[in-house]
Amino acid sequence: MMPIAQTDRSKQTAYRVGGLLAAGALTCFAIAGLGIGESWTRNMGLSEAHYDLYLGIGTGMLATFAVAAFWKGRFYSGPGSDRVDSAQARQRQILIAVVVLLIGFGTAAILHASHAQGALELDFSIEFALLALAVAAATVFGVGFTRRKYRQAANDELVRSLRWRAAQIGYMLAIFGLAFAYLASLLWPGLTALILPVSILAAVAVPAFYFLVAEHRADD
Amino acid sequence: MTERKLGNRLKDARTSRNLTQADLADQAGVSRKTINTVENSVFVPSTTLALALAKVLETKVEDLFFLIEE
Repeated sequence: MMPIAQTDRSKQTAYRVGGLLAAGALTCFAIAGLGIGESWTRNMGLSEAHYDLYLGIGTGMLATFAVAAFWKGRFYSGPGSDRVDSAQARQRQILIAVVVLLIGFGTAAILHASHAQGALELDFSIEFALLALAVAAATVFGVGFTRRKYRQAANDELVRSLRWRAAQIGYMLAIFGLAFAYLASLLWPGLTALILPVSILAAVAVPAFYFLVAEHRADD
Repeated sequence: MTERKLGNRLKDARTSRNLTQADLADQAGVSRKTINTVENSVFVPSTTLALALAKVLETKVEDLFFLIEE
């Protein structure tokens, strides 16, 4: 268990950082609000329609608050924070972030594929928003190798077993998905751009989701 | 052919030493979820982990784990 003074200092740091980021987000929001319709916002590449502007601001704020919240968790040094479970929880958070980003980027790729066929009007706001979240997640989680229990958590027997099963599921999905994508490219060439990202997304996201659910159920 | 399952007395051994799952997991160098799944016979531990658990609980592996033949 860490000394109480150290725990308090960590929390203080987290709150200060969180406060600074919140203030920064509010400043951005105010500047953006003042800049609507102004020439300098157009010079920054923002469209007249403003919806991508609002989306960008909203994402910026979300990402900022996420950084603040997770930053607090990162410096948390209370009871049990040096246990394998704590390192495992961080690895789980990273996996959830990766799955969310994968689904997001995959969905964007699918939407863009639809757009190529004239079905949907879409700019790159989604990718822009996801990129901001990816940067926030990378900043918050880091590589994770610095945690003392990282290796123990990664080599935990249950986790290794679940990882193996997830890899098997991913392998099977990849084989079937890519075979189906190949067949689809022969039968419906126009849909290849749509089916390929779905196949790849399923081969990665489904096993990751299985792993998360199975690990969660290990608590029962 | 006889089907074999692994039974265990891990929970009894742990509680008799006033250890929580988290305490045992910490001392054995695994996660609490691993201990939980072993106790519930959901997960079969490796020989290394079985030996480590026996060492932490100051008992023999045979006293902790046994075969159930069906």
